[in-house]
Amino acid sequence: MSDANSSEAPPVAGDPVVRLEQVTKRFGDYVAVEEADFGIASGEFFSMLGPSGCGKTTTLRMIAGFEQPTGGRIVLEGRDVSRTPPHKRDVNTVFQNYALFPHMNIFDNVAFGLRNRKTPKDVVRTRVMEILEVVRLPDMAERRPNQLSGGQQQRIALARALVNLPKALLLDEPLGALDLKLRQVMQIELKRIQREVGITFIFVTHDQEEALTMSDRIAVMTQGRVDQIGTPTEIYHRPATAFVAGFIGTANLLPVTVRSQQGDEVTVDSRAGGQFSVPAGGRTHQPGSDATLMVRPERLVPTGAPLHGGAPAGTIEATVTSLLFQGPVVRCGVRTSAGADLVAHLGPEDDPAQFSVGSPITMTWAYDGAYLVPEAISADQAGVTHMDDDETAALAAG
Amino acid sequence: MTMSGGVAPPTFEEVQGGGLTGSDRPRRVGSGWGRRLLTVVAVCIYIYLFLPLLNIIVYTFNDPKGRYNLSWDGFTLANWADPFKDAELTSAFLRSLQVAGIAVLVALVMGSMVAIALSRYRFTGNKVTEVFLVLPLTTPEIVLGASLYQLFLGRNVVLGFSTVTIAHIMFLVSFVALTVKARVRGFDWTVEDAAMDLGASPTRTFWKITFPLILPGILAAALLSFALSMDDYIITDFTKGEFSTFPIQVNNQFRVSFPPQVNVLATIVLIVSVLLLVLTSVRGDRSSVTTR
Repeated sequence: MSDANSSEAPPVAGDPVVRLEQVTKRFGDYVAVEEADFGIASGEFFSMLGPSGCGKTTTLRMIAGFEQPTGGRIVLEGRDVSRTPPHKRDVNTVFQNYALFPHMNIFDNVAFGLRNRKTPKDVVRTRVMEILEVVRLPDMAERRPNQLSGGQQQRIALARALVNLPKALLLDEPLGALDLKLRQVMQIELKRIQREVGITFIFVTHDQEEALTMSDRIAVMTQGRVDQIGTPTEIYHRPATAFVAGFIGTANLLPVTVRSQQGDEVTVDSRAGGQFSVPAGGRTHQPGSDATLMVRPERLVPTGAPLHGGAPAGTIEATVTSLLFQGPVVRCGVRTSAGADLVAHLGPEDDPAQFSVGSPITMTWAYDGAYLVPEAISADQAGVTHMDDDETAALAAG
Repeated sequence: MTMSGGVAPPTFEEVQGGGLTGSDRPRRVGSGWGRRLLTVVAVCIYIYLFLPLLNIIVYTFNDPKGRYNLSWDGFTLANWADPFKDAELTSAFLRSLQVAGIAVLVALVMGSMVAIALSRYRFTGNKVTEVFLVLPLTTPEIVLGASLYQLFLGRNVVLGFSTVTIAHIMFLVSFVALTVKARVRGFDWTVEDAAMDLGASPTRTFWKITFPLILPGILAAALLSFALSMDDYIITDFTKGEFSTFPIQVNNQFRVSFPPQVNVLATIVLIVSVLLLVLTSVRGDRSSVTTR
């Protein structure tokens, strides 16, 4: 699925629909967005992903026209729209709380944008009914928004924006208010609708799984900066910063110092002792520079277990601290001799039954299973990064 | 009266829209003696509230012997057949309608703008404005009246229709602002963003989205402030000069006569107010039914 994702991603060559050029937004002394600089291709499903307060919503509001950039330009199909008010921009927004007009029925809600542009009556009728068909709520035209369920309101908000055939559709955490099951249904629905209408989607979310599932490309943001832009595969396997590594999925991070580089093979010293070989990922790493070694839990295995992706890159002595059966894998927490907590997902081929909490374990990974993030981390950032709340609770209980 | 206790009269403050707000349904009252006692108490309170009003209406059908419509002397429909018999009373009534009409209209525009500004935007002086808004309501009318008298007289303004109207606008703005503000509290302003996002200019957004949504609040404010303006005596008395309104005229005339037409005109105002109230309530009820 993830491989298919990267090959399907439309090329960014040619004129992008939306281009942000060195866009900065300040609120007083607070820098909400710092020099955002990227383009979004036509027909692309583009996500801005980051924790709350990272500037993703502000960026979206600047594209919509609700905020004006303090510096830089926003270009919509070749035209600078940085100072254009929202009602004169050819983009439409799906709001987090839907913002349907409570005093109008569904038909009038959806027809609102078309009527603002003085569309002939019969055209309005056909277009509205068509789009209600696309979102699969053709029978709701006469209802009021408050007679609809959350998921239905969501579809109407989508229809109300899409009926105008905007150059780009902006979605501000549109699935945030829905429960998990409905959210998953709507994720699939959104992808289907986007394919059907072929409109560029710019999607804001804090949910990394949602972004990975739906996006052609993702911009990962933190503290007003864009850390990395890439396909879900790129971002997952080749994170540009330690933040990206930890925010997307779970990552084991080890602080290392670069010793030498020969071609695409980098030799690094672990600060906890030990020496590893890591692929350079197309970069040149300066000898003596600090970097971060990343191994995903599914690539971290006990020695002796079968390896995929080359010879073992090195070993780490550790003690098993927890073993959690999770169905397809056993989630194995280990503590290294240097005191870093790591997580490995053990499959049946790793024979997890041979381990118990407290027993010593030697961990390894294949040469290709690690990635060298060109950013230093401190010693207390070492170890596993991303833990869901339930995992943390389970660890504490174990 | 057949009204029974426990039935809440419809209010126009019913929260409309906002889909996510749950409604607290009134609880059923228990049964037995407690319930019966409650009904008796409720009926007593209703009688206490409505007896004066009932008295006004009953005495529109009185046929007084003298010039004072104060004791029951016999039934007649003559007063209703000729409600404008007393020329001075009628012209005072019309002047009151004029003052109220202009004052309410101006106060509605100004007060609504204050209410929207206060609930929509954060600005310096936000809190101070809210406090000052309540002051005209808490200041004794006699003080306001005297102060206005002083202000107008000190600037050699001729007292009359315009000074009365200005004074009414002044105290109505606060009532309107507070009533509309209560209505727009919790209002989801992102619908304005949504409208503009869909290509509506700020003006169109106001008339198509904002105004229809706050209209029930504005109607409630209009009813309330119209009644207050028609009814005002003290402030009007200070600012009227040679001018007179309906309440002033009634009081002036009382020394020489109290014709049943006073009751008839008052009853007409009452009936119109109640009709408008019922209309807005029905409108509010319908929209709250469709929101369930």
